[in-house]
Amino acid sequence: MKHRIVSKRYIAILLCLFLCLFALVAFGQTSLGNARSRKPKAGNPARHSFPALGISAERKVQVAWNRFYDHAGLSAILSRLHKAFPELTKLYSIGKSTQGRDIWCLEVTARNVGDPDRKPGMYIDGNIHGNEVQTSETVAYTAWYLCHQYGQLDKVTSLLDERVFYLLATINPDGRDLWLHRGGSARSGAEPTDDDGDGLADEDDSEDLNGDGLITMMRIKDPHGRYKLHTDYPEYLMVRAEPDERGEYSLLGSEGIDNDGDGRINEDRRGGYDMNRNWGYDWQPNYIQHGAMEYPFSQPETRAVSEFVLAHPNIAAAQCYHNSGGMILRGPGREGGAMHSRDERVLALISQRGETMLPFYRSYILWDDLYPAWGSSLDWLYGGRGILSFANELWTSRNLYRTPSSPSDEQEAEFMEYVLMGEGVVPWREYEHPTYGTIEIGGEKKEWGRIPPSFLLEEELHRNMAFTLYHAEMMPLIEISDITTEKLGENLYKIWVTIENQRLIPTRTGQDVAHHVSAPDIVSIEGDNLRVLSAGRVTDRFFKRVQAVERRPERVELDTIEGMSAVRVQFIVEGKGQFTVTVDSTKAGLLKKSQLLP
Amino acid sequence: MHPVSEAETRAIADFVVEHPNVGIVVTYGDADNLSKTPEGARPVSRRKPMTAIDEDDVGYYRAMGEVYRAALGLDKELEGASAGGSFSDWMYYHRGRLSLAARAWSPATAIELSKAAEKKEEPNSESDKSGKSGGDDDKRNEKERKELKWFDENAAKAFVKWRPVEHPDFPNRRVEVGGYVPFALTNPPAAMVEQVTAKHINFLTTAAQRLPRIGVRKIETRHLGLSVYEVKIEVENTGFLPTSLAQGLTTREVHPTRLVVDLDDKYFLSGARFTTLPTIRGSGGVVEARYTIKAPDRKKIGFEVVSMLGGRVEGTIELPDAK
Ligand SMILES: [Zn+2]
Repeated sequence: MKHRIVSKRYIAILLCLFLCLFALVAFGQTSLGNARSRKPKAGNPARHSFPALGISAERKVQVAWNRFYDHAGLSAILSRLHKAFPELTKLYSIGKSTQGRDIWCLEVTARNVGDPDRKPGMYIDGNIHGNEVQTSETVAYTAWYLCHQYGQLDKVTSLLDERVFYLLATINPDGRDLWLHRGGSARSGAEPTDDDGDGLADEDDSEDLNGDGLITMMRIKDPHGRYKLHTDYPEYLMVRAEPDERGEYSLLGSEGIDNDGDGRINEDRRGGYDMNRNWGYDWQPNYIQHGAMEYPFSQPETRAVSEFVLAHPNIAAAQCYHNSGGMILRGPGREGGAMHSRDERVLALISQRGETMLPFYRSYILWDDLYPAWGSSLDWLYGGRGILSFANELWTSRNLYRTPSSPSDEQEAEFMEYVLMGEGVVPWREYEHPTYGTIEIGGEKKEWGRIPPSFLLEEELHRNMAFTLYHAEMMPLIEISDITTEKLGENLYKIWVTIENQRLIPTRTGQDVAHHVSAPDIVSIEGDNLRVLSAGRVTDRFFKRVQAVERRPERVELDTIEGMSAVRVQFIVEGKGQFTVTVDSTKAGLLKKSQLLP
Repeated sequence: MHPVSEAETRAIADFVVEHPNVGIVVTYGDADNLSKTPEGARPVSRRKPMTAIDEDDVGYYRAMGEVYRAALGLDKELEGASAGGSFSDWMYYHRGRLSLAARAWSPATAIELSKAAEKKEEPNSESDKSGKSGGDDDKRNEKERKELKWFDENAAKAFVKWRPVEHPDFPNRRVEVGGYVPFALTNPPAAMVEQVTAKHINFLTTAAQRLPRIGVRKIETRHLGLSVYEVKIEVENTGFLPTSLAQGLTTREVHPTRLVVDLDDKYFLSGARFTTLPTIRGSGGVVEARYTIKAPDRKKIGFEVVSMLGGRVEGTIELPDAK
């Protein structure tokens, strides 16, 4: 094989030489007027490119971030990243979807620095709603960015040295592929459900009637219709007729027929539930919370994620990406739902930073500012696991013209007309419908509305990632900053250990402490020639007040180490030689420090 | 860790999801809504979680409680018991099924049954209660004292006398070990198991007969002229329970009964191939479906009635000759 390539190249060189000679001769014979026919060399532009700020020059894995990838595409990106950055990544499946697609987790951290399993963990998922596609690119971009910038930027280097990222680009791969390949409603997972109570499941979905590869809308010319074409933007907009005015059209919903002959169209579509109402905290059944399904974590996807989170108690923060609306959402999902005021303060501070990083995004409390929702991931991650979590709603039409309020329908039509050169809608075309007769099919493309156009997509990915990296940076970061020993008598010492939390988020949140989600932080001391006589937390470091533990003085349990603060622990020991202090915090990590008694 | 987190609870949940025809649930455990009729309430709002049984369903619980107490031989209501987060509550509140809960045996039931037996033996001893506690107005630990007395008389081995022991964690202190044998308060003495079981089997077989049962009561056809006919189908419920409890409708987990006629929609001048029927109450409740049809090229038209809890029946509409 190699030999053949070499000989091919040899022939090519010979051929080139010959052609050059020929060209020289030919050039000599023609006038300079033929310079017009000269062409630039068709080399590799990447070799002559220079980086803009935002991503490093060397790109080991090339990914175009101005488009969308299906499950196979995302899998390929993750697998290439893993291959290119083995010292930073671990790639595994956490379970399978209803239709058997793997739910991949790319674990990103400096694997040779510290124990990956004991670093504070940042959980990031996307795409629980299958149609909310750019969420997955945001997660994949995060993986790509972190890998490429490690060792390039101090900030990213410390993030991967000190923290571990669990990146789940899509936790609803069935819905994702359905939306990308086919369109229509794909918010749900793929388990067939009986939406209309007729004993059949998913028997009447929408379909691509006119075979243009898209599922759009149906309308019918109707003298009794209440809709008409917009005067200025007839190709883009339909509007309601004035109350005293005749309309021209009736709207018939999305493309489809009555598949089961029950006199209704598209009434039992694929899926029909909402996996972000299926989480095991503040869950309510379907009649109260539409889409909840049969019981908490009934679906293989949500179940796999819950088991994954339970198996990684070091997860200290979480982000679940959605679209759309330009929001940084935090819990609770219902009025009076779980939220301790000190946790709320931390979340509010982090999302305030987000509002400045994400232009025209708004920081919202789910139930109060958006709508009440029972059993969402925010509820369980915080309520059930005490993890400070956000759900960003990616993309807002406010970014079309970068205005603080949403553009009007007419302004959106103008955007399609002048910025997208007319892209965004499918022209209405006639179609013979088995029930309705002559109708028209067309209207907005599925890509319009909830996801940005290609040239704004990369910005959306980067800014959301930047906010989530800030969130990750705020996870507790603890250090044994000081160990002071004081001799009290022959072989008798007082040891003060100072443990700092250098970031905003406490080692254990208010919810965590109140519901005993994780074990308390444990500060312990040991040494070969050491006997601990007494120990306790220092409650006043100036007056030297100590709250002594009742039993087992070699370990002191702490409820939490608040953000940007320090706690001190006192040990009274008898002995000599070396001793080791250990701080074991489920969410903030494991520290050890040794010292000699004087 | 969270609701339905355990393999066992998940298996049961999956089982009932896969068997939507389950109309009555009986759970033997800590909870008890058969010894005493549970309280009902008007649902506050369709969007708010319920905390009491829908008052429209209470009557069915009362009726099943009566069956239960009759089977056990109890002549009055005893205390009920509830257990939070139970399968039993889930089956009613979330899945809309008549969900009955009972303790297979309890000292309270046993005491009551002994009392009833004594009464039978000495029908004249009116005030055995005041007679036995004569002069003793001390009401402290009344329940426990009654239980101890019952065990003394019926199963003395259920209680182990308190005896001092040496305990390593409490050196030089008086520590005693004793009390009820494990599970003695939740399981009948071995000698009574057979008798208790027989009573419950009696209850369960009676309860099963209370399920809804769907049937076709009448099919009427009338020739309206040319090829046009009127068809009337009466569907009845010969069982005891309705085709759905109020909570089954609220939760929408019990689907409405449907009547499907094996005839293309184009033949219907009124009505349609597929009709959903309202709830049909038990003990002979009837609903009617009416159609106007243009006769197809056959004289017999099949149809089926499908009720989630009341079964499935088939029928045939026979069109009379147009005279
Ligand atoms: Zn969403």
